[in-house]
Amino acid sequence: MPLNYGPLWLTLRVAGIATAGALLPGLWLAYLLATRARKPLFAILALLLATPVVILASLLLRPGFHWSAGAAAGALAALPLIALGLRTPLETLDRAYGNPARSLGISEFRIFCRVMLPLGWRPVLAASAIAFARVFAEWTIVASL
Amino acid sequence: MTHARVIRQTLDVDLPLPPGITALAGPPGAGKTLLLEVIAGFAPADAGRILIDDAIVFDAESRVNLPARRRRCAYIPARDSLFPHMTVRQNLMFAAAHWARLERHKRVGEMLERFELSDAVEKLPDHIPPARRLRAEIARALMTEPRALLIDDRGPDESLLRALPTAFNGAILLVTADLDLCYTAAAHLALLEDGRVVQRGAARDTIEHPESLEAARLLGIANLFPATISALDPGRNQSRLECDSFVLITPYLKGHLKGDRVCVAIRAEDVRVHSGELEAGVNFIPSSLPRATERPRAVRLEFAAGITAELPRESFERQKDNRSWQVEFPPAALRVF
Repeated sequence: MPLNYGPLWLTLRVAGIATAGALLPGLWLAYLLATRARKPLFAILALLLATPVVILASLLLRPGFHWSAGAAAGALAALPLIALGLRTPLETLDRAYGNPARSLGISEFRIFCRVMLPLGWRPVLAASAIAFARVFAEWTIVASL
Repeated sequence: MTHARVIRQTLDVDLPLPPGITALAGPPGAGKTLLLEVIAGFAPADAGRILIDDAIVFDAESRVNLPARRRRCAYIPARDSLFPHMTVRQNLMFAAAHWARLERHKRVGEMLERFELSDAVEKLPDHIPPARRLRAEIARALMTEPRALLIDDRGPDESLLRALPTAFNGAILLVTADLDLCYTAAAHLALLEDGRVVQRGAARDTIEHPESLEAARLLGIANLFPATISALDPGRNQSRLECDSFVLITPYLKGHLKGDRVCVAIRAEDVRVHSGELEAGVNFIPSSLPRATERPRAVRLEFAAGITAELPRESFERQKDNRSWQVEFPPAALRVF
């Protein structure tokens, strides 16, 4: 009996695009959390993380939705995982390298791009993998709605 | 002028920072790193004013609080902060990005040469020893032409500290626990305890003449004895102090009254040690020697009644067979608070 790979490819596509879409904003939010300790932002992200994907999906998606809309819902689910997951590693890096760099008059954007990202790629990879796994695992629930 | 007047929960410091090296010494938890972070702009202050080279970077009253990157106050933390993914040259180039390309290369080359880093330019920070990493960090900091330099406790060597004021003519605040280094290389010294400056002034003067019990303790003076003034004789320039288990004669204590409680301090190396058979003189105290500890260049003798003396090895070798001991507190070496 031929195997039906269609749902697998669709899920991989949705999870991949959702993770990629959430990566950059998630990274920037994590950097903001690590450097400026914004409590309201942390509260919103924690709330988003605690909200089940089913609820998120039922708020955003309508019956017969296109897969790209599902990817958008997945990105919303992946965003807090990336931002909150990267907060602590980026905080550690910021204390060690961010503050001395700031005292040299270097802009936040340069610190983020030239110092934080090259030094923090491992945690970024780990947070992305966890976000990907979450969207991948829960896409089935979203798709069944 | 560089001046920090900082008040926050655990810190109340008023510290002028003249050009040259000002060493900041104190026990762990005294607030040394916190003070550096407040001056650099990484930790907030509740009140006060911070001037860096005459520019106000923080003023609680007028709500001025420049971000760290605009204070021009280079900060070198207690741990390595060279970016580990960049070579030494790349680290310096990164800090010098605001210069035009040719100027940047020229300045980086000069700085590498000045700090004797020419052979390490293409090495990653992990591949050079810690002392050279600190040199590279200071070189990187100076690339930005800061107005003040803050160096946390990194154990710099004497040659680096001697070279630093010639490379940078602004205020340098250096956290260190090495008082010998302060004496040799720092122009000024501030002693910090529980977030407050206990004493500040010229480094040598501060080390040689502590003005309070706290300062004496921070400077590691081993012999501190509470005492009561039992007699004051301005005519003979003498005061008589009664400690718990002995009596001391000191020069006349101006501004004190009979019955005042004071504290007598004397450095271990200023205490003289004699055989018990020698005729007793002024401030000779018979004592027993329960413990002697060998040090690299001296022997530390811990007598009864909490008296500590430090003798050169040769001197101890001559006296080690004494059957009884007496210690002498030379009146000129005694300090009374």
